[in-house]
Amino acid sequence: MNQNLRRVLSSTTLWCSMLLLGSQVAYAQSEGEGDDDTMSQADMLFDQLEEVVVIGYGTQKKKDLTGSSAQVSAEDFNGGVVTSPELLIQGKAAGITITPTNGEPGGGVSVRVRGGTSISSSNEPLYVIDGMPIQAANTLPDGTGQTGGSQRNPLSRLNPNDIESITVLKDASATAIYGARGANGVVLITTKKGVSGRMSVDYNYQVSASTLAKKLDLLNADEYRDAVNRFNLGNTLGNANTDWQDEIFQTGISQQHNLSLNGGNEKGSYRLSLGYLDQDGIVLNSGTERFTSRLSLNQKTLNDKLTLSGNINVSQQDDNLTPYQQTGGFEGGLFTNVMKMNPTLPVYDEDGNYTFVSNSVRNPVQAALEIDDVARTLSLTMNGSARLDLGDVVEGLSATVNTGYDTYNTIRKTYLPKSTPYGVADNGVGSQKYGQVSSTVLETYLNYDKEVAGNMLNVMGGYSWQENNYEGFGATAYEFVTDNYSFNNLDGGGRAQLGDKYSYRGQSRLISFFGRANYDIDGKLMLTGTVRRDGSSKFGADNKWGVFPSFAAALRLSEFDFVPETFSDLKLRAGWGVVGNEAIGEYQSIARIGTGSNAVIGGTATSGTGYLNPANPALRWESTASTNIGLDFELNGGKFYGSLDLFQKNTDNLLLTVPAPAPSVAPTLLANVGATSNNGFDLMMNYALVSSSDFGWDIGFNVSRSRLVVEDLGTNSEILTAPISGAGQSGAFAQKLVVGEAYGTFYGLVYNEADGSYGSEPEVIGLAQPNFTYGLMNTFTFGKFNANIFFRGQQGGSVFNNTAMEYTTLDNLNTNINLLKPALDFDDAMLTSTPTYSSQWIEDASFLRLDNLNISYNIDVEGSDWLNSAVVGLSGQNLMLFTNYTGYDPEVNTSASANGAPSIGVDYTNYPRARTIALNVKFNLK
Amino acid sequence: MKRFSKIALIAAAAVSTVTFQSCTDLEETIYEDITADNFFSSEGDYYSVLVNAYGNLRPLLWGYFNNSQISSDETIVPTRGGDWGDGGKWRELHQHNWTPTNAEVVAHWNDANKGLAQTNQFIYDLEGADESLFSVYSKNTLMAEARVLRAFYYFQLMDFYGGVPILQTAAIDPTNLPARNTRTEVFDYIEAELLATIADLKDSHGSDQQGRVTKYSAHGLLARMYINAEEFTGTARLADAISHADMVINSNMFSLESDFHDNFSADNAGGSEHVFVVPNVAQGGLGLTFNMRTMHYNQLPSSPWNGFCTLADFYNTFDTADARHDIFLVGQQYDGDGNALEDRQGNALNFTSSITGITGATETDGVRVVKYGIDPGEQGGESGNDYILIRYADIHLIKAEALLRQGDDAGALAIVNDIRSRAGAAARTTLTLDDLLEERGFELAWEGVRRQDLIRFGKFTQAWEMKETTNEDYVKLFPIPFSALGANPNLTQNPGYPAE
Repeated sequence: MNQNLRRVLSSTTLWCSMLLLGSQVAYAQSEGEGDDDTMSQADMLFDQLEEVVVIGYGTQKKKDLTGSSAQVSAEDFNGGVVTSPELLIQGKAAGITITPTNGEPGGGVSVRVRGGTSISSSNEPLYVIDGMPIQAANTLPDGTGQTGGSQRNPLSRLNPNDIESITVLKDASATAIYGARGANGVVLITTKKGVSGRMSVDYNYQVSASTLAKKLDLLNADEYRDAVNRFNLGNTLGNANTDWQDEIFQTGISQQHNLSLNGGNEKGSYRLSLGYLDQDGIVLNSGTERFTSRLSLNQKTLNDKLTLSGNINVSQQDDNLTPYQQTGGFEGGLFTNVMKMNPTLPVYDEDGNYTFVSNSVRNPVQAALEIDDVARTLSLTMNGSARLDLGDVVEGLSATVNTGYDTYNTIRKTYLPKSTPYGVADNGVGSQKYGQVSSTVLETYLNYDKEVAGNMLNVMGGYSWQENNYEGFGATAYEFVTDNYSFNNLDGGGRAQLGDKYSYRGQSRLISFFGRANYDIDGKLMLTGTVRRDGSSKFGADNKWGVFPSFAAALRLSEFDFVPETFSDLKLRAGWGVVGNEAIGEYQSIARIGTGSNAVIGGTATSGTGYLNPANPALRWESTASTNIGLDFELNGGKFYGSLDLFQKNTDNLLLTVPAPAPSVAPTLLANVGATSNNGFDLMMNYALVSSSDFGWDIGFNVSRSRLVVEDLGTNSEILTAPISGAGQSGAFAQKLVVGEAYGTFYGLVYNEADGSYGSEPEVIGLAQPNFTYGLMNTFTFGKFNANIFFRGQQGGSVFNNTAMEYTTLDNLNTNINLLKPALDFDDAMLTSTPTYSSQWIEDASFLRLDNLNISYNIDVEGSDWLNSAVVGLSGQNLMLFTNYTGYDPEVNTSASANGAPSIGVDYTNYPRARTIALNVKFNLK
Repeated sequence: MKRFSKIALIAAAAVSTVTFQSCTDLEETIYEDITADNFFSSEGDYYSVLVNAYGNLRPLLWGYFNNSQISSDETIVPTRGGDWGDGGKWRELHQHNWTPTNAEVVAHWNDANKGLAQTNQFIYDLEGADESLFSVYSKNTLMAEARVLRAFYYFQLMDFYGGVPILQTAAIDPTNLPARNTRTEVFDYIEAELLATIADLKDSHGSDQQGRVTKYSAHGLLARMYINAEEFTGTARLADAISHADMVINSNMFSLESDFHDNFSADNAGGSEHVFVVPNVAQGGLGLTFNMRTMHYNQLPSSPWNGFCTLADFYNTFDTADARHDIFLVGQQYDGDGNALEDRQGNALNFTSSITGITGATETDGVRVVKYGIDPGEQGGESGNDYILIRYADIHLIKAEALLRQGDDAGALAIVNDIRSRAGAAARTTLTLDDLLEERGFELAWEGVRRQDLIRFGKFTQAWEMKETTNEDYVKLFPIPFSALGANPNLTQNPGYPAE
């Protein structure tokens, strides 16, 4: 194998891209024989303080950490059908809030580390996979017509089965080594590596069934007829009794196969994994199919002085998308029409055709089955590193080169048939659209370890260069001769107009110098200092470069006599640092000319060239100064341990979209204006309640809070966001950013339930940010059984139930569309009243969810010729939800941005979340 | 093993060296856009930015038109059940209780200022152009057209908001933000600009350039300026209104259409009354959506929006024998095959002239106005009818009004009766100012001039249907949006409106 491996490494042009750092971690952790599972079990036997934790550009023993981070390893990951890595740790780490946009398979996920810092810029953390920073950008092009909605999760390129651990760096002292990208935390993903020993083969299979977790309370056909009769309306009614929710939702069956091979010797190791996932959505004709493959190689050479390692990850994902549009389009997408459809109408008319209502109320079954909307995403990630031990030159010195290339692209194909109300106005609409992002990274750094008078000094310094590229193109055709072409023959469309085709391309570079020093004085006092000088091409000529320093210290109190013996460890940490946010679009500082306003000249559509934006040479990064104080404790030799962190983040020079002084070529511009603050705490605790040889019970608990508050908006007196969806709601907003108020504050009229009256002036009627979120894990081992039960919840916080607002109105009867049952309680006068945004639609978002339940049994395979181990397991996800929320699910985040400020806590005609039961078997082959 | 290690070392060294050469290069490479430095090099480059200056007129089909209409007694957008509630912005426009945050006011302010800034920047870029680049049109002609367009953006702003800053540079200097000029200063500036450009403007354009401004667009805009001069500046300019109306009338470039409705049909391009137009084609973003705003959902395959309608009091002033009455849709509606249409409940689609209220209106309340004929090739609601910003008949009525205000009743009456006879309406025997306003209503209904007319005739602040109270004079100007005041602290708010 060494011959082959060497040939691969030395003969391909991929050398630069194939070398990787980081695998030493797995290597060190997992000496001896073993497969993925035994490795994890071996892991658990480590004293948790000796655990090695991944930090930026290296690793550190957990006991020596000075910053705030959370690491979750494979054995603690969420079970069941998990399609993307971040969902593995949903609820498992204090201070990290992970919210899927909705329940669509492979859909977007929002990740907030300590609640974010920004308004117009992104609040997503930086993702680093095995040392390689990736662009976690959604590449799914926009849909056509009513096929809007979906986002793809860029992290789903990674098979969760390939992940060893996920570490989240939370405070500035931990993230400052990532400088201008550190403000929203850094998620370090470490993948599984080969383990030396004979080849080990693991296979697991999973089959699961997902169902709609909750139905909305729409009127059934009889109730609808009664309601029409109550008001003596002359509505046209049908004779059917159709539950449109039942017609649209299905039991989604999913299957997963994962196969991995790994092995090696004392010089090198390998791991190859193959994964296949076929997941049906809970909506008719929706789902995801994915192939993933990952190869990791690791080799020592040059008398073990040089360590070479590399990874290749390839994935292909095919999505069958659901045509839903959520942004208040008058006709709306599938879910809007599920709400609207008159339950007295049948799905199919007497001729067997889809029941036609009107061009604005559209049969959702027809939408699900007749609209073609698919996407294929391909990704390739390659990275490699070479680490050279320079101990011969200077003792304790080593040099590392990391390099990688990452590309991620999606093509989306859509066809709205002319035989449906969705495509009739344009006689069929077909499109193909393509988007790609890619990054090239090169990093080099030196590491130096030295003992100074019994104290340990570690110094690291390096250089990093990253180029990000994005590009795409697309074409849309209309007026098709026949629906049979679907999207496969766009030239079958009969019209070509301005704007029917497009392409784009952009590029940015980030160049950095960074350094870190750790000094450990006698195991009692640990000091860390980091500095990163980052240059970003996105910023103005006057402000390309910024310096991001941090300092942290940890004092091991347990080393002092005054601390009782029961504390096997007690460590006080304090850190301060400045980190940045540069997640804005390219070219914003340069006055550009580009596609402008088109005009009709001589009867012909003529494209105009216009001025895109005013120059802003002063544009610079957002700057977040953050302070963290933490306490790590361990009692009774590890039986009980935990940590508590308090933090304060102050962000200024916000990259905010502000009105430009008029007249301006664009009404708004991006400027460094305004400030936010965010403070809160993270607490995690673990208690081994029972740990006897035949029974074990571990309890893990975490709770956290953050509160992002708007401190300054520059010349903006307020920023309106969360535009309300629904007929007649344009120009109305649910949230307002006001100085001194928390981000996500709902402003509206107070509704008086007793008399149905409203307050006179809008006031604060809710806050989307929760008071705190928490997770509770119980892990049991009982003989050959393992079980864990994981609850997750949120206390406080509000959701604006926009769906209820639009459909809890008797006025819908006037247009012969369905409504939610609570509307029947209104008195007759409400028949013609307009839905009014008020506190009535702001609901308590508190919930407690039985999020994950896993039971597994180790089958006795002793004496088997071909099995080392066999495990069968049963998992349940989202099994129970305790909440007062009346919509599908209070944990929701419908995208409703306006004025450069994304909203939070809005629920509108969403793809609902599933309840899933999965059966899985795992084999380790001899 | 050893050989490989050597390769590795050499490669690592090579990679490091290559990298460090470009190690601090942060220059941005622009791909899909361009900068002024590497753009303007041919006539076509300048032409395409002039096209952009024209393209920026398009938003006036929404904001300038809507706000001029809905704030008048011709148009209302009642809230129908939940539809068209939209935070009250339509009701505010009709009832004159708009605020500086009214979304339609803000949108118009932004659109008109954007068009102004785009055109102004272009004028400065064109100024530096080498004259030898131009062969199809002279540089002077392009410049003159751009200046007319810029003048028209100023005109919109002066009309709605009063005085605005007059730009003295290519773009605003963020470190030295301007204050407002007076409305009179802006008037004088527009007037001077238009007068200065006329010599360089063309009399007409070939059919492949149809829709661009001409000498007569400038004269027409001046006539409109002068007839409103007393409101804009406090000084009447009636003689100037007449002289510039006459420049159009005596040009022999225009004539009254024999059929009133031909002015507005889907194939109206190049119509004989088109003095200043915003041309359209039936395609996304480049069509006219007037019919979508007013017609019922079930009347067209593109599912119109069922919003705008006219008021009974205005509708009732029309004589059914007058051809101009045919713009109204009232009573039972039929599809193209003569089948009776239904509303969304399944009842007869029957438009009533009475409206239940500005809120609580039904989906069939109100007479609909389809002045611009339905385009059979309409695409997604966008029609190809050219929108007429200044129409030849209006030029006549401006002249008639100026004559009447100067005391030449007979001269005015003759013109008015010419216009009436074209529509098959009986001749008037006398003419008062109120008659003339009424005549403008008949002829120019829903052409976007009503707000100006009512202000000029002193009726804008009066009560009318669905607007029960009289207003104070300050509503004759719209407020400056808060966002604009915040972005430029040197701007002051118009009287009567809050500054924050």
